[in-house]
Amino acid sequence: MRKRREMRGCVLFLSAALSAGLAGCGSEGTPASGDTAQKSLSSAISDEVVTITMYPADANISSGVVGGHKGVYFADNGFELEVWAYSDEKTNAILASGDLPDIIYVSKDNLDVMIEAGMLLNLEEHLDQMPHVLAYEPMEVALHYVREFRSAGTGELYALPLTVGDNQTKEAIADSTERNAVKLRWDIYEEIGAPEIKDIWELIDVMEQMLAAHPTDADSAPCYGTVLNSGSDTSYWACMVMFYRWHGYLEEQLPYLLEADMVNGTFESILSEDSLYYKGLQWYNEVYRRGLMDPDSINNDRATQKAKVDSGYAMVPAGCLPGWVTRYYEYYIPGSNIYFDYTSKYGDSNKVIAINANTENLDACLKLLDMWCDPDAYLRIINGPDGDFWYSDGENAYLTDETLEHLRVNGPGTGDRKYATGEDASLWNTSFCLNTGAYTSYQDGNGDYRILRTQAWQEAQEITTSNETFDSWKKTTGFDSWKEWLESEQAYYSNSPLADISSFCSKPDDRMQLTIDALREVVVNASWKMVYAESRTEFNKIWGQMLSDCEGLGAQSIMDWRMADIENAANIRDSLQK
Amino acid sequence: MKNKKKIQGIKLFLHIVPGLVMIILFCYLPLWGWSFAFFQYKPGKALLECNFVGLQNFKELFGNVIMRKNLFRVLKNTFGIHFLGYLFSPFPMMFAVLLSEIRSKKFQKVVQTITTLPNFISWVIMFSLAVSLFGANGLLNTGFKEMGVDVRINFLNSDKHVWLTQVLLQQWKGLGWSAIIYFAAIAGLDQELYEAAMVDGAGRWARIRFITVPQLIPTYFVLLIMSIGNFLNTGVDQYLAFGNSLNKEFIEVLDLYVYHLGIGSGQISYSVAAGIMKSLVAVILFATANTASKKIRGTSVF
Amino acid sequence: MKAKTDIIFYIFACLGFGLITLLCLYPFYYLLIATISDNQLVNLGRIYILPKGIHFDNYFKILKLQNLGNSFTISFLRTVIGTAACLSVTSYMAYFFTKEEMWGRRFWHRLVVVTMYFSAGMIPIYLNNRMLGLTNSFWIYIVPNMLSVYNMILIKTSIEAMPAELEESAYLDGAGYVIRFIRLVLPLQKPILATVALFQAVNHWNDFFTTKLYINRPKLYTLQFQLYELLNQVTSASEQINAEDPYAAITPLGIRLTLTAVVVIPIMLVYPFVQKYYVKGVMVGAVKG
Repeated sequence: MRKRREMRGCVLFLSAALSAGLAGCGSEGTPASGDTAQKSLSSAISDEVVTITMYPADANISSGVVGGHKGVYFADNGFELEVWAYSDEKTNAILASGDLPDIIYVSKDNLDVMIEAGMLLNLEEHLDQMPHVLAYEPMEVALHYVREFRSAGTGELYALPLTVGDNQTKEAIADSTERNAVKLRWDIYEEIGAPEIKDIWELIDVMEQMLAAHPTDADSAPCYGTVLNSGSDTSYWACMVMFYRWHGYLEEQLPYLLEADMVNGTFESILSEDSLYYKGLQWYNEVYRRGLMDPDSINNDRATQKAKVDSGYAMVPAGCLPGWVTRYYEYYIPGSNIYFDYTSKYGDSNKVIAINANTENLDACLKLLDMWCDPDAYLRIINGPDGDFWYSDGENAYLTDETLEHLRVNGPGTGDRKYATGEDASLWNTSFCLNTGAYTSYQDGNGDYRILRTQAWQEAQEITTSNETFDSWKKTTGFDSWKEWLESEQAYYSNSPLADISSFCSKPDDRMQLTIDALREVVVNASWKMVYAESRTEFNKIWGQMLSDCEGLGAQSIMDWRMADIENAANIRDSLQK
Repeated sequence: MKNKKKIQGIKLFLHIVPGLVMIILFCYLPLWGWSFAFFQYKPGKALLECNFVGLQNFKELFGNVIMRKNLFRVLKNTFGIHFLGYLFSPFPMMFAVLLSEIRSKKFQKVVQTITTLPNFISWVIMFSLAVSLFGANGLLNTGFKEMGVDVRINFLNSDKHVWLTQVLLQQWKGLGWSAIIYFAAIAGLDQELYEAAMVDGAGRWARIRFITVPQLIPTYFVLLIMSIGNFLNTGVDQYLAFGNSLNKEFIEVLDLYVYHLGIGSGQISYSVAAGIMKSLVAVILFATANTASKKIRGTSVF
Repeated sequence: MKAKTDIIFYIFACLGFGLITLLCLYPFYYLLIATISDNQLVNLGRIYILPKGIHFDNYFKILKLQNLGNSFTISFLRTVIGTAACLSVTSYMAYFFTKEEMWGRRFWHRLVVVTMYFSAGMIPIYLNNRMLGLTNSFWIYIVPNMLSVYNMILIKTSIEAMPAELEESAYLDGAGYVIRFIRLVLPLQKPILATVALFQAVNHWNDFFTTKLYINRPKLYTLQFQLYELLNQVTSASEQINAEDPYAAITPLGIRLTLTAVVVIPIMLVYPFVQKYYVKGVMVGAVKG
């Protein structure tokens, strides 16, 4: 007994000593093996390198000090970047306590409060220290927008917008409208003779034929007509996304029970049997009742659906995940319109990036924001140093042979690629101020400028899009690319009277938000039940119940409020363009 | 004499003062935060700069007819699952008692260790395991298909027997871990009582009925009363993992409902209002259970 | 006659326990085989009994994490110090609350117990702890958890079940409260103390929320938090629209399973040490004489 006490006492003392030592001592954190660049970081610096802290928008980058080749690049520019771990609770804690990091990604919900509380630095007088911001052409309109609508009414610049400009898909050879197309498992489609599909209901018949020809895959795992998932349901029923996109609609206003016809420029309520939403539910229900849908759809999370679709188990991908792998290729259903806008004029409508008003390292922070607007910096940060995955001769830039070989063998993913220093290629997916389609200062040897994403360079695309399936697609459809097909049918729309409306819409207050969340619960649950309805009568019954529940919650007033808000937003947008 | 007793009493009190200070510092002091429920609080703004709205937040949470209907439904589910759980609550005790009867200590230790393992496996993993076993393409259904049997199990998507399924899952996960405390209690029992009983000719079941169980009953009731106070707090994890639109009618408990209303990180005022109400109900329930226990059994936790 | 019923009991008991053990073992077994199986197959729900496509990348990914040794040390220190501190304070309070002569015992006891059922909310607690200087410090792991009311009630119940003659004889020998607590009560309460220590240690070992909210410096990250961070990154990365995610081979579910395995195994290694306190016979001879 005494021995135990003594032992406990010893352990306590030792532990206390150790922890005091840890708490008090200086920087630690040994870098991982293979991270030799980290060592060169600390030894090669002649100028003083300051540490700036950053709070990201999402969990997709690792926290801690950024090392590796990125760390070297940052150090060359005079700073070391330490990222805080992201979580929703932490965001609230930061706001409530006022302990901000140097650089912070701010959600538009919190922006006004932070500006009014004086937490964010006014960037107006520092713009001249950020030359790349002013040099990037699409920034001008976006900055004007931020001054007007993301400044808590002050008219001054307190933050910079994100992902401004064109998307890299403007250079894409193959898949160039992302989700906004009906895709089929092309090899099986050709197997059954590539029959013509005249409308969305015939698509189900073709789906059935395809499934009959190929009911299981090589491992005798079952295939399905289509696979859905329930994990993507955030503020609306996510399975409707692709169905909308197939018809040139957008799902942005679904939380407010409105569907947006981008081609004709109208908003309609989904609570009517004429709506596309109702049609979509009927379509999915038909697929289910004919036994073509994965019955586990409601239990699938996003990753599971992606695994199933990417492995080729779905004949026609639907829901919110198209097949991005090269088994699936697009088909144009006559009469449909495809809307795809690859331009982000005003930047990300949900978040911006700002500097802490009380930062002690202003120059470093400004340097970072400037870097976020520099296409060459983006290229360097994402793809590594000159000479490793890519190289330049001063004017032009090319992919190295190893990169091309890796593409031929492994496809587009960076996979287990390593840099020359032994460092793993890791994803750095934080939003920059530029969109992925910005042009760097490098050219491609033919006078055209290079986009900052190497995956979009012509030679990379030629490798990743050359496969048998695509060749046979070209042969069967008679077109060289999807875009070409769409344009020949005059079904491609890149502009819309409703474009960018959401950037000018206002946020509902807390009470309205509560109603909106309650409505979402009703609609999402009813939608799933309708998909799984075993009969027409059950389907109609659930629909009727949903309508009456929505009415009881006050859906009409929400929709009216939003329609008025949208009209207002459209007016503001138009006035900005003059 | 009385003075001496009083000084003694105060001396004893002094012993617990540091602990009390901690409790006050960490549990009572932050209660000023309950004032958030009476404002429209936004993090970043000082509290007094926010709009004062009185009881409005509370009214809005329960004001609408549909929301009241929902609230009634989720409370019914919470009560149902808990009551069913209480029916199963003697199981950990019986498990511990019976296992202690096995003579081989090694067997006891191994069973004890292994049965605590599911406690560490999160509900999300349990769910994906359940899908791979019981899902439409899971082990069981594929097995049935191959054997030509036309039965299909689909309890994950059905709204029948939801309460029972969830409680059984809870037992699977929690049995071993809940039994630990009974093992500890059994280890502390006086062996002489058993020896005396055996001398008197009591058999195994008699020993269990008259010695072991009565000595474990106090622990059982203390745990029961404490858990009654937690009646409304089921936690979200299990129901978030297993809940979907098809069984929502019966699986949505209060915590999950609140979670789904987005009352989490965003709308602080509403979540504090909901939290206050839950706390009030918890304290009332606990006090009631405690008083009942005092009246019925003569002992209580308070 | 007696022997026959005994044998029947044994057979049924062993079968029953065997069945329960298998049922409880399966999830853990599934965990182990799924973490070494091909991640896509796991996602598709096709792993049941045997692993398929064996690889150890999931574990390598975790081992390659920066700072892993440091966070393991922090977790370990936190568990040891936190459990020791909590055990001392909680059992101390429990003992004194059993003393009926205490001034205002019922009131103070109620004051303490009722705190189990309400919470001030995340933000006020955060601001409170910040005011006390606990943000970004190792002590945030220890200090707020030092008094665990639930466990205090358990220990108190257990002490009250002890025969009163034990303490009385020590009192008559002239021992004060503290001496009686340390020399007499604690050794006899070994089973319940071991249990409380186990509960607290597991809580400390598994907690990542504290780090999530209060800690910015990677030096003070706990193991669980680092693993949880990894899971978030992989989940986030897999949700990017681009098909080209370098984590394609490593899926969120794969990481989730692996980190559960990594966290549970140390607990399983420690558990046998706690089990020895569940041996019957601690109380033998305590009341004799």
